[in-house]
Amino acid sequence: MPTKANITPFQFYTLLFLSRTFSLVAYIANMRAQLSSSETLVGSLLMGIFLLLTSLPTLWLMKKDANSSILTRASCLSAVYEKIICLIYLVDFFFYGIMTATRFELFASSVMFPETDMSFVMLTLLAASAYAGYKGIEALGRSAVIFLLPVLLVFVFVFCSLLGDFDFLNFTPFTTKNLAETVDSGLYTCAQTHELIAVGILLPFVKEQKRKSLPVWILLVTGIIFLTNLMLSGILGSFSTTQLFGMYSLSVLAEFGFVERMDSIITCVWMICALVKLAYIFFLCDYLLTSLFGKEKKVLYLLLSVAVIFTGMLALSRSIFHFSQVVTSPLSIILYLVSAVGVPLSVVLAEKIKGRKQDEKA
Amino acid sequence: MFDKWKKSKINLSDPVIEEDIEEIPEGIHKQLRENIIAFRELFGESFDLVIKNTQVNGIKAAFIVLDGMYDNLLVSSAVIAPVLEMKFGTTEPQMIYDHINEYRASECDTKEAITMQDAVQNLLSGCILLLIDGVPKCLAFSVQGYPKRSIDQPESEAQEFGSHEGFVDMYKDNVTLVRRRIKSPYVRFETLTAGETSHTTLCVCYHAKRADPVIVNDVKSKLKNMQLDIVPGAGAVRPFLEAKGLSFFTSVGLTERPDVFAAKLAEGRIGIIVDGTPYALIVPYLFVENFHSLDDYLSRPYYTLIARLLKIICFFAAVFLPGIYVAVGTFHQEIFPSDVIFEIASSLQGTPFPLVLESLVIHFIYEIVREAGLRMPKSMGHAVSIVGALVIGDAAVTAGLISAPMLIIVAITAICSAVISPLHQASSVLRMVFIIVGGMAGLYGIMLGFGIVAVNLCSVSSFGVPFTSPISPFDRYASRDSLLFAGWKKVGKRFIQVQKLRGSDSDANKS
Repeated sequence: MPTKANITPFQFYTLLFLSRTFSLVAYIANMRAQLSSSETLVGSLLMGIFLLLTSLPTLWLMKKDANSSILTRASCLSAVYEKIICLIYLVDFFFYGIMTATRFELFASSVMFPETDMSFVMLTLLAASAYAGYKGIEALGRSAVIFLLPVLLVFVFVFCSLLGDFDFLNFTPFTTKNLAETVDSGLYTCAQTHELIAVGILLPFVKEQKRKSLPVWILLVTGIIFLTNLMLSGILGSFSTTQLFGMYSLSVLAEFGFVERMDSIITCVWMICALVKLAYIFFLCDYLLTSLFGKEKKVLYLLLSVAVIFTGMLALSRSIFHFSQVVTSPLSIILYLVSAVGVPLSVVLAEKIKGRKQDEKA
Repeated sequence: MFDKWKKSKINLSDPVIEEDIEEIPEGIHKQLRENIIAFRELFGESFDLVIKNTQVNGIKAAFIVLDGMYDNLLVSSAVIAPVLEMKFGTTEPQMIYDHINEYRASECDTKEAITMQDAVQNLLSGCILLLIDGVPKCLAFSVQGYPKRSIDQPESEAQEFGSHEGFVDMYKDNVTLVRRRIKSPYVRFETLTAGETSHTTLCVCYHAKRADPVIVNDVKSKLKNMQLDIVPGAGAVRPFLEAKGLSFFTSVGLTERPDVFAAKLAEGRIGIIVDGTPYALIVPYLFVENFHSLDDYLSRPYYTLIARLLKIICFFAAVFLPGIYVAVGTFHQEIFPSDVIFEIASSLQGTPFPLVLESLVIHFIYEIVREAGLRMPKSMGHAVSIVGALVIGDAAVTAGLISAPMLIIVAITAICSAVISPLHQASSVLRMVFIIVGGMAGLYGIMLGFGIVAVNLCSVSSFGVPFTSPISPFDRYASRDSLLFAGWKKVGKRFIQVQKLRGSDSDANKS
């Protein structure tokens, strides 16, 4: 299993940040519950809390040994156990890959190329991402830092240029819906943060200070989601609840001097986030397939991953209805909880039990 | 049919062996006559082989030299006179040989050739050989003195404030130019031979206290294992030192300036001087170095910052500007302000070709004009300028074949690519790629292409050092001389060792 790589925590968490940013940009608002503009703010804060809570098993895992992958540690317990975890994660990342590709397909077919057959576009994007994944985590980490600057600039530009349109009167009271729906929304948004699952797998690739950086990353992700929702609510008001892609709606309104339409330029930057997200998913799929079958066949595994994700995307993207059915089904939450909470927790507990037994024997 | 083709392919790759040409004999004969016959057979009818029979202390001997390869004055004063005037109290050939080797001809470097191969190699390098009857070896005196170009201003790296000395074709002169700039015993110059036919001398240069020995050995091993028949220039050695994997950008630096070369050695890099070429190679090489020039270090830091930013902007303009123009003009017209879009639309309406084709054609013509400017005799320069500027430029717009905004784009691109000359090859190819991508998929395609190029760039490691260092992975100290230059007071406090930059192999091993 290839583990020799040398990326800094900054590169690693930037990669994950960009990946999460794409989910934010291509987030289809109110697919599950019709929350009011203010409640989405509460929902994003709740998402942060859920994220922090679900990251506790990973943090615990890192506390015991921050240099070994969860797979390596599972293999020390039992080879079968490692394979099972590999399989769970593989299903997870195929699922997230399909969801990401479908999200992008829906975004592109409604915003970027409304009159074009998306199959070729999607195949090109997947091929480009697979190539990026093939180049490895070091290349991805390094390029993520380069891509971070335009992404942050776009956020700053959109928010600053629309600051004049921000109006507190756009905020509705917090209690228009019951709290359960807001909590539900927070939980579903949290379940889209599959980057947390990747932390446990990619630990050996990251140098020093990896544990301390995770809570900071969670805070930053929560912050950017909260800020985006704040701007959406403050600028678009209740109109934001009717928009398919909220962040895109904001970018359409943003102007820069004599240039009145910046949306296509901004969409280009979001596209880079899609590339990074899919590339890192492909890298993980290859890594997990290598761990599962024990042989390094990078090109074959990547081609297989492209085929699975492309087929899944074609099946899901036929209509937004199909996609929303999958997104709003409990499957995504179950998958997230099993992978982000269940698996790390089981590994740590199994290690403890094994340690105790060995102590007793000694 | 395929068998025939295969056979012809095999024939082409096989070395040409002419049976009647003499192979170089292994050893040197004891008899002088045999040796002279061997040399005559080996060199055939070559007029420049000069064999002068003589006597040294009463023993038969012969001087062998290639005409035009030696310094007349040095030969007569440092070799022939001391040897022929020698009075030694014995006629034993071996003792005479040893005496000459140890005490005579001390004004020039003397080497012993044991095999005929060595003797021929020294002869071809411009040495004069002394063969003594009864001794199965010969002496080679370094008296080279062939015509060479004098040290001149570097043509491809002209600087405003830097030295006016550039590398020349002779590697020994280049070594002297570097030695004069770093007076340290730790700077090592080791020679290797490359090219099975040309036997070109390569000089590996490094600072023994600063360069990573692992990288030095890696470079040497790559150079030794090169499979080349002749080495026409430094560019032929370059691919053997490039990083693994395909990339548009080279990970081997090239310089014509001894001052730049010396500075790179001081940073722990390894230089390779190739005999017969005025360019030296440098490894490991980083992407940001394409934007550096010597003048940056000799100017005020604030100006250097502006100059480097300009170079980066020029690089992006040279690669992306035509593609972006095509993409915006074809797919995203809404980006243009309303009054500008009217002007562009009216100029485009008069041209018969689609924007992407128009752009490709005009850039193709520009590349032809540029290539002509490089290769043609200087006397034809004015004619090409007139044809380029008036016929292609003015007449094509007047005839309505090309729109005026497109011509402006080409002009900006051409000037920008001249600013970043080390990246010219990569930028001219990428420009064409992005024009096609922009015409097919608009700005989204260009951005996707940029992403792929960026990932490709980030995946390259030059001898274990990330090509994109010190930007990503970010190295705080080294970044003071990357996109900006913090000034000598800050940068000069301590030296940078390239192999210790963040993300490099040694950094990984450390952690």
